[in-house]
Amino acid sequence: MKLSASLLKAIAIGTSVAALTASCHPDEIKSGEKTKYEKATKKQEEAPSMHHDCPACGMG
Amino acid sequence: MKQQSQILASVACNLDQHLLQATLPLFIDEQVEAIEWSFDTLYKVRNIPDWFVELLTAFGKEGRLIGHGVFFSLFSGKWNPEQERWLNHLKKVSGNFTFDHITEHFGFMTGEDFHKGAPIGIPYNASTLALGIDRLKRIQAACQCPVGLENLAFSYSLEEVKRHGEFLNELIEPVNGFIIFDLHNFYCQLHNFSLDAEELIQLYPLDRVREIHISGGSWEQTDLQPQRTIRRDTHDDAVPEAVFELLKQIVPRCPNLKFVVLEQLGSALDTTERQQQFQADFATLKSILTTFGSPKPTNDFLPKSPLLLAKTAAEDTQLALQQQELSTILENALNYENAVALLAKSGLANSDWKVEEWSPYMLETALRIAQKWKNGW
Repeated sequence: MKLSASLLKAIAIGTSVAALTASCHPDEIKSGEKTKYEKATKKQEEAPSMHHDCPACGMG
Repeated sequence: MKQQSQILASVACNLDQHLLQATLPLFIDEQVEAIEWSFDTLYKVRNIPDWFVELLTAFGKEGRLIGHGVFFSLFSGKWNPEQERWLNHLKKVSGNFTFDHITEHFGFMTGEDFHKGAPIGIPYNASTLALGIDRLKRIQAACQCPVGLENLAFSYSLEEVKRHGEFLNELIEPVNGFIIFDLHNFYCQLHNFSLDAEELIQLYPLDRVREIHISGGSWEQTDLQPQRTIRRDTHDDAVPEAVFELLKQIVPRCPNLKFVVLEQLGSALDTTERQQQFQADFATLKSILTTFGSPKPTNDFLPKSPLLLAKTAAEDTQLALQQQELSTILENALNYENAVALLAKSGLANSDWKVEEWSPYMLETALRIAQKWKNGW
């Protein structure tokens, strides 16, 4: 399937960043660190009207 | 039934640096015809890049995105709050992306923590059948698209291996579901129980196969029979030639086949050489598929009538206790002999689990898997 040049470029740049996490290994968050979800949830508690859905992880 | 022009050569594509690096040249060359995403594996990922969402969206819009669950634990005797959350998560991502179908694994997870464990089989009886059907209906209700189950790589006994295809068929029939026929899992069973491929193929309902997986794995030694090796579905090596041969043998016998997916863990694609091997495996997969004509599907795998769901999810208390006992034994037994003694004194003794018939070398391997996964990979 054909993907747009801009998407291919974004994947190339994105995968060159060592910070990209492995998906199947639940050890990428160090103990005690807050995940994006936890941070978003905390923020939502502070401001309930704010929307923090992530379409890929389905959380928020 | 909608005619499809070809069987789609696909890649299991998750948010993993090495896996995406290996797949990118295939994307650039427009070789990848569909992607499979394990939608439940991002629960701890800190930042999900916009481009990954765009990638999923692009394939979804073309009807070329399929979802593969990893953590639902279909046969846990006890209904777990994590399973309820998993269904809510599936419902949400199914609203955000267009999945052509959703699949999960057969079996239940060992380990106290829901996210630690290996899928392990269950006894095939009326109670487990009812439990599995109830859970499959809930998955279908959440995703509103065809649902399927993957055949298990690991079995304890020859009888279990031989009954697996039939039991899968009984499970999926009420939801008009389908089977992911994982050929590497099948290869594991053939090797570990010294079976003839043709003999075992005939025990699977191939008209129910909508997706095929191919992958690599690894060999393990067994202390009980040093001359014997055990094949494990570890997804960490190139696809064996024998699996490609099985693909050639089985594709023409699956009239409803739509996707063939190459799976490999990103952690096993950490060098240029390994990434090139992955690309070569994909080219082989694709060249095999081009030798077959257009499929002529006869089943859309959608429920034939609205599914009725009980208010509360099915549970089997006795099964839950047995699973807990089995997990504890597998995770803590000192050795094979100790595991046999503990099983003989457990609630699994003289039951449908048929622990008395388990192959010693498979039990020994199960101990090794469970004790490795107990600590979370």
